[in-house]
Amino acid sequence: MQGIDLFAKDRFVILDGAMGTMLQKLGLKPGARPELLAVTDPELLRRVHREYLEAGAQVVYANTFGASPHKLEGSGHTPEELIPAALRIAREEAEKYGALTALDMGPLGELLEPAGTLAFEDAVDQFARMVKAADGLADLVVIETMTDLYEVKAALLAVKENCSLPVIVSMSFEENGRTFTGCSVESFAAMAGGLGADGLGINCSLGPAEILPIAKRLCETAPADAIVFVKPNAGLPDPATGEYHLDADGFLEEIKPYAEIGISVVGGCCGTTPDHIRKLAAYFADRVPAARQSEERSVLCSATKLVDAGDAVVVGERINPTGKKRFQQALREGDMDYILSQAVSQADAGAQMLDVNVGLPDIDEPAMLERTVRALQAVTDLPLQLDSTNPEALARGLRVYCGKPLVNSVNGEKKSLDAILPLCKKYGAAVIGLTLDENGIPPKAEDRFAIARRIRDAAASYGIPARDVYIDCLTLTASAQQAEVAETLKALTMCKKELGVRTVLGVSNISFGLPCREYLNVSFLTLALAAGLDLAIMNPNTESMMAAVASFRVLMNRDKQSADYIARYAGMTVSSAPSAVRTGNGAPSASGGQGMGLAEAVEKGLRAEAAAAAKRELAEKPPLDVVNGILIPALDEVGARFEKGTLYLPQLLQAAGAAQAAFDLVKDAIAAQGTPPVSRGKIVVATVKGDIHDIGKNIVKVILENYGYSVTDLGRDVPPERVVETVRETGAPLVGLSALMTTTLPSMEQTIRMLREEKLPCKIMVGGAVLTPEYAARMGADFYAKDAKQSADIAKEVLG
Amino acid sequence: MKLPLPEKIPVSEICRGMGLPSHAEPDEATLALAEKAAALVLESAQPRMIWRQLPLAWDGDSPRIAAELPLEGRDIRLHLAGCDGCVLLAVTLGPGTDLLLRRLSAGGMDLAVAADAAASVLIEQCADEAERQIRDGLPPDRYMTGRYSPGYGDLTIQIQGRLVDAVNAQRQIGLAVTSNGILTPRKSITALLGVADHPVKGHLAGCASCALREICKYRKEGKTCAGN
Repeated sequence: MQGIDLFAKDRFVILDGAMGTMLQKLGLKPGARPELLAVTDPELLRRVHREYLEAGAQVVYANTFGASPHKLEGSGHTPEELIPAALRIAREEAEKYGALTALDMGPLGELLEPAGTLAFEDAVDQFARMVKAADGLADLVVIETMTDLYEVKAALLAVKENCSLPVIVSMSFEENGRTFTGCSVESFAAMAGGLGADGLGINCSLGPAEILPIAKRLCETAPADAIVFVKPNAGLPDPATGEYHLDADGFLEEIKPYAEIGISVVGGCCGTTPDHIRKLAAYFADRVPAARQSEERSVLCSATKLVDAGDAVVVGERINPTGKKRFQQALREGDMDYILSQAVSQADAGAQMLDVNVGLPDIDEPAMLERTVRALQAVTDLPLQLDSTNPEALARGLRVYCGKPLVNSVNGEKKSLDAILPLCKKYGAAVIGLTLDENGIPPKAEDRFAIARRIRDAAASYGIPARDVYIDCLTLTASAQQAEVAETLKALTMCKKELGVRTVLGVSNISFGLPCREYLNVSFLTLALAAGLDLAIMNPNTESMMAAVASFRVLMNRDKQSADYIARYAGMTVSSAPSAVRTGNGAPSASGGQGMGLAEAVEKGLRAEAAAAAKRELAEKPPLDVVNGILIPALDEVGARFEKGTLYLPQLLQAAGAAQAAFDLVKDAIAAQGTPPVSRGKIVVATVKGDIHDIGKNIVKVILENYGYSVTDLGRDVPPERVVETVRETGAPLVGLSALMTTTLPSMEQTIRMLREEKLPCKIMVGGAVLTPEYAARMGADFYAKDAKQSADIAKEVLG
Repeated sequence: MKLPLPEKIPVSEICRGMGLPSHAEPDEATLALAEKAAALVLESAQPRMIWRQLPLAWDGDSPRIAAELPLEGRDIRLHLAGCDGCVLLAVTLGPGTDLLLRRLSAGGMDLAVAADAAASVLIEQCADEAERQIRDGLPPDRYMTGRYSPGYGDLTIQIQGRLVDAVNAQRQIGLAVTSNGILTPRKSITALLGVADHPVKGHLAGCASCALREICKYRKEGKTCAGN
């Protein structure tokens, strides 16, 4: 770098002011692309840069904010042309003042998955092109005006992987301290800090007064070695005119308090002018930034949810195939819905994080972990704990995760540490360290402590601080190693006290091999919490375990005024029925009585009753008899009434939901028998490329599954190639394609054409709001399905 | 700019959105489903609006917003007839509702469909409120049409990107467009409202140029989606 040290914390560094609103003032027409000025009117850019430099700016942002590949499409220009041009202009002016030049990267203009259709790697590639185009011309990279934490990650990875320049990042927050996408300051600090941003900041959206409390929070949560900066707007815009309300003096008054909060770099965003920057530069010139106190807490986060590890955190353990035949079957079949339902039910039960283990010897774990992480973060905001010892799987999962995850796990073996710690560092993850090594699990607490110390030190050598290391002293089963239970607790306390690390335990293992496991689990959990356990990996669907954690937080004065406890249990009573009951003698189940018949429950759409009835039927009949003798006829009856118009979509779907509850039990029963799942045939469904309306397709899928077909759901925005490939792999004789818009019908047509060209022996059915039977035929589809019921009729015709 | 949430989402409209014909009375279970969905959607939504009024120029009988954005099609021409200004409006429920809808889809489809319908009703309510605020702020000698959205009638949905850029919607309210003209977050609306110096009523496109003409349930019942 040149004369200015952006990272000196003993003096303020001044950034420039707005570019966009300045250009508009100087005559840029609304809707015109400002990035083109680098080639169409370089003098105009020079003038804006020069005015800011004269006013005292020490860093200028080149006019590259929107010079990203997709945004430039149709403009006749490329990033490779515009970015060097804009940087040269900025640099030539900056050098005259000894100032720094920044490559400026704003949002790409499309939302990333799952909110939009832009794939994460596509976003990384777009930013990477911008970074490469700036080669040798910038002193630093600025990522700014971000509202989506996932996009921040894509941009940061692109910078880190393609240049060695310093990089600073700022996001735009609302007054509630969150961005439009719900990202909090704390999550931003945790993730961007972990990914190695050299500076974290806030820009745009609000004026200095509104940003101040948010900036204070950022100062407290950003890593100690990063700088914190702000670039506020000149107040708030008038909704009708778009004019900002603060003049230079007003801006200065509002920005003065920033001298005291730990910020060391300041500038202006929308509505600011060289006058604003002049006043600001003069005020901060002889001041020294206040020293910043970073909290340095142990936190884990998604974009919108942050977990503080210091507060007895429940990590749901159910996404794990170990010992669960049904889960294994779901993994082998790529049945993502089953995995997601496990996530949603754990979240509903109160889990604060989810462990994610999708390892099976006969599946492609790296691909599956990546796919699962992406699918999970589309439906849950809980932070994830990626559970694998396969470095490639971890690398792929960590890359697509948005937030700061926890890796489960490394152990004391050098091989494990060397393979996995660099990944944790690169992706800003915290890590669990198991206190075992090539010699196994030491029986004595002192020896486990020694391994823990080794892991902590190894992490430190990779730049991972102790607060991001979670030591698992390993729960041994009380039935086999009774004497060592106390050693686990002792080691846990030692690690917590002496190593500055956090602690974690998989709790349920304690009771393996003993009856009434829940009693032991609850007692051990309580003992472990008292011994200093931070993260309990457990089944959140077991209420007594959740109650133990909730009680612990009350008794240790963490749950202030017992607010969380009361919220969870107000108005409830603990069941007085004897909690341990004899099993295995055919006594009626807890749901009691004979109750409603299965067919009736399905027809009435009553889920709980259908499940209870299915349980009774399955106790007496083989699973397939239950399906063919009761479920399918009941669904046929509902379907017939739907066709007649005496019953409507809501009832059809409620019946489908009830049938699904029964089918879940049927599938459990089949998986428990160890026989291969029985299917009436395979069907592939997809919402076509370009379209993201998937509710109709989802309805069709549920109905088809109800009828016993195995449905491979490719999701939405599915490229034709992927449909072709999946049909080839599965050999499915039937494909269902959905499109809701006239503009996406061409991609439906293209998908059909490709399936035909590849000569795949499948029938194709299509549906969607704008389709007609005539149009379907013209596109070459075999069937037009006007609704979900008809798709089931078609499936019957094709597959039987 | 934030928009207030309405107190409730009308359950009858949710039921209609779920495919219940207007003559059919919802049963108890359906009503309960709609009410549950309405509560979840209201909890998830953070409605925001951004708008801007620009001069409307006419090239013969084709309207053009400012110098930049021509509007093609018979229906929008009729809608803006007699106007010299155009309000561009964008409203969104925000990403929280999208997350809710995705999460519900991982459970049973009945609640997912009900919530989708509830969110569609809510975004219309929010757009009504936004329109009311703009209308209330008009000078006494200015008049405004109702809302007209891209994709309706013969106005192509492909202009979404230009409209969203013209009000800087991504920066102002977090609203973006996919390359196929679909708004994200999903439960969002953009609209054009004509402004004139004399009372204007605008023009509903009607069924003649509607893409759903052949399969529209309302049309089969002898009604229109405008509710009459």
